[in-house]
Amino acid sequence: MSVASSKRLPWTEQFRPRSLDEVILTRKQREQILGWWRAWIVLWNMNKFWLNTYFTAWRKFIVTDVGRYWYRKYISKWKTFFRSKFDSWISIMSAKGKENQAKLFEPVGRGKEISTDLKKNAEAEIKNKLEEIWNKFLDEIKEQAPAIPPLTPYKPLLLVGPPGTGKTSTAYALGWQEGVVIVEFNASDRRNAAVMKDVVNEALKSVGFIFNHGSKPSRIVLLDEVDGLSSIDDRGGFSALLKLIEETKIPIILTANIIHDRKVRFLMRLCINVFLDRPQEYQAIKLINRIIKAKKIEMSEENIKKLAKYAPDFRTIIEALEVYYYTGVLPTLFRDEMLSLQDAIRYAFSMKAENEVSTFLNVIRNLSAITDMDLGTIILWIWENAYKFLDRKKGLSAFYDLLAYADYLYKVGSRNQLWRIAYRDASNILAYALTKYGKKVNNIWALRRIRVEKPTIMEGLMKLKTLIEGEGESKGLRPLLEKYAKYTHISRKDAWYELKFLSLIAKEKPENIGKFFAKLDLSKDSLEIFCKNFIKKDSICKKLLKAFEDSKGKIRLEEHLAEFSKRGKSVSNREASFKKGEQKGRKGTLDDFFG
Amino acid sequence: MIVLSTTELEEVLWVEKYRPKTLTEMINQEEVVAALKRFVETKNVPNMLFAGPPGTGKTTAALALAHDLYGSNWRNYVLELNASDERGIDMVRTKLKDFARTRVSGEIPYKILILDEADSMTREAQHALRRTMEKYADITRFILICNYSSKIIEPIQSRTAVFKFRKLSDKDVAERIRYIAEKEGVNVSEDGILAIIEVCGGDLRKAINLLQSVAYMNEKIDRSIVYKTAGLVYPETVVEMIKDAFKGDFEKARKELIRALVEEGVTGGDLLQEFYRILNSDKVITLNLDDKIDLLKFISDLDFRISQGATDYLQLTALLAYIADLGNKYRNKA
Repeated sequence: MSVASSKRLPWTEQFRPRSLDEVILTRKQREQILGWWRAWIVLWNMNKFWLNTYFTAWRKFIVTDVGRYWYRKYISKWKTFFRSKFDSWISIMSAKGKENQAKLFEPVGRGKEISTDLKKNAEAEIKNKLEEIWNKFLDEIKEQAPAIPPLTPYKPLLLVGPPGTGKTSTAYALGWQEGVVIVEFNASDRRNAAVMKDVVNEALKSVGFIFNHGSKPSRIVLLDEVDGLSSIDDRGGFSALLKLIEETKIPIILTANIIHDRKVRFLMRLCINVFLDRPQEYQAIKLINRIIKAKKIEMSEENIKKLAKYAPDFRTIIEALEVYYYTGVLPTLFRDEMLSLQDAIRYAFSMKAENEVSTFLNVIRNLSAITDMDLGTIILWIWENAYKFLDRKKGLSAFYDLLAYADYLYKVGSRNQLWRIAYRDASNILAYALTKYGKKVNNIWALRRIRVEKPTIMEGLMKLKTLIEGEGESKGLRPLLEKYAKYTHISRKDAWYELKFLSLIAKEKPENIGKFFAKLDLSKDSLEIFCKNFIKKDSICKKLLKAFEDSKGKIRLEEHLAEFSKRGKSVSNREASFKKGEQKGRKGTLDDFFG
Repeated sequence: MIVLSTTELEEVLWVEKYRPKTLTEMINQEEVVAALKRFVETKNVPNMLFAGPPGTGKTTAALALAHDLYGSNWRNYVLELNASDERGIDMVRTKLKDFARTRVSGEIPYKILILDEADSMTREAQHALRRTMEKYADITRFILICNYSSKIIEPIQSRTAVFKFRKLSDKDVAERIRYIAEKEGVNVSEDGILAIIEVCGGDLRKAINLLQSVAYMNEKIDRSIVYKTAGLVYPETVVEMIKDAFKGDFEKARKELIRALVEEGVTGGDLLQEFYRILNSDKVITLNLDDKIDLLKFISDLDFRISQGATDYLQLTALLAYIADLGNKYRNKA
């Protein structure tokens, strides 16, 4: 790449890795990815052999009656049989599979690592293996067939991890390194059933087979961000994806952010899963040093450490360095507050030793500084999620008591402006409680699989408050409660509890309740709120509202009559005064009479 | 304003329909009623404090007294304030005082101020009240109503005649229920009446409400129907929570707690009271003495924390966890 063009590219593109070695991966991750790729190479060669040797015979067999019968009866059995045998032979998930891969591929270096180039005699071995599997199958079903049916594809590779941890880069790096074309479909494309069909066609294109005589697959389909498959816009996309996995003849790489997504959970059972974690400190430093060296940036040791410690992912590191290069300032690093908080919770529960307590306190301090989250909210988050992280053997009550106590200290402390109690004491107790009662795990991924949920109780309580107190124009249920409480001589709180009883009666006798509410002189607004939240059935609500309107009219009429009779009285009063005035000698006027 | 006098609409709520209008109609609390009747006869009503559990007729007695004293115009002489009304110290110093010092003309020279649920007033407000009570004693009489007389400050207690309303006996409740059922033409079996009493205890208000909802939904009322409806009107949320937690399903209990707070709108304080009542009565789980003492001590601790402003659901979760651990302990023993 020329210098001129590289200057115009953003750094994230400039530093996109060109081989797997450049991607910052752990040894295990690298082995998983390469092992998966080797398995596909083996299958590719098997397929090629099958095409050359058995394809024609199979085509002829399948159109005969016997062939059709055989196909219907045995094809799915054959597919499962083949898959399980192939898996146990070459799968990277088993030790035996690794051994077999080492037998088939050329060794590199001191013989500990193997490349993706097949050995010279490997093809023959692959052919033998296929025929061996086929013969075993025939033994099992005891029904002959003249040719081997098509083979089952190997599993796709699923890369899971937070944004910016190098999922897409890994896929492209593999492509670059192996000279394979990556066909990418990502969230910016629509991925409904029709589009997926195109992907399927792409994946099934036999062109790749017939004209590619190389020993490796010619392309890889990359489906980026599968958890972003929308169930509305991408209707049918997911089932098409499953079908694709079932039938593809070329390798597929899937990527996903959220491990808890239902679709992703499902896919994990069908794929080789590689988890790309947030960078460890040493990994981040490795990347920072590489970029600093390439761009000749001068950066203090302290800044490097800070960046390595707080940067949530690789992409952020590169972007931050780019900003630093041009401005000399390091940007704020917590890009996604929610994500950081969730990880902080996980981290909090995975603390193993007392000396980590101070680290946790730092986490809290940083969180409150950066995300505006007060200790109360952090306590709430821990309360919502604690049960998933607790070591059940140690009992629940001790932990929850400490949590409740921390909350008490925080609330009472901040109410009385005793900040030492509200913050130092409360967070210390919280930190020690977490250290003592949390699950002890070695692998942070074991906790990553536990979903950290947002506490919803505050929203629920707010909603309840809106229901009662109203919002904006609406006055909520408050007028109803007030009038009902007054009428029945109870408190508003008890009135709220009795609404359930009222709604029960309303379901049986909507007319009565409608009349009753009219009598309480309620506005229609609060009555509608009552209907919506307590009765819910439209037909009953309609009856109730109708009775309400009718009675309201009647009451108005009665009021009017009452007013009229009062007025009648006052008229007679005036009449009297009129007469009185007359008696007094003052001449009464009509104005006097009508007031 | 409520347009009661001008409308002839039929009374919908049975509680109101059958609320005794006069002291003679009151079926229970004989001693209290006898004393009140004497007051009416002599037309001399002291400041009074009515204390007793809910649904025992405290408010009814106060209203009936007013009715007997002033006749059909009684509403003009009575101001009723309950917990729903703003009753902070400001209110006592302004609105309440203004009412207290207005004179009324008529045969009886004073009016009556009923303070319902006086135990939910703050101490400061109660202190502010005490001078008012003395100062305008000639033109205003106070009736304070509360569940626990201990929650009323000493100076006020000493300025009032305290009447304790005892819990209604099952016989009284049964008699009243039978009376209402007969008037309304409801077919209720003896069994059903017993069931209503079991669900509502001595709370007549609750009992009548339950009877009304059952009666509307069913032709014939028996035991099973009462229990089915009672579950709808008075769901035993707390009992369920205790059962779940004790069984070891802590998370279910916690979810139920959230639901009760958010959907039923029960306050944390009320829930804790209910917890205390049920755990103390050994109704759902039976504990040995040591465990029970520790548990009640723990609950009072939580009660204190909530009263000081701690988050109620967090404190209640700690209680659920405590019960879960107790359940575990008892299971292991067995």
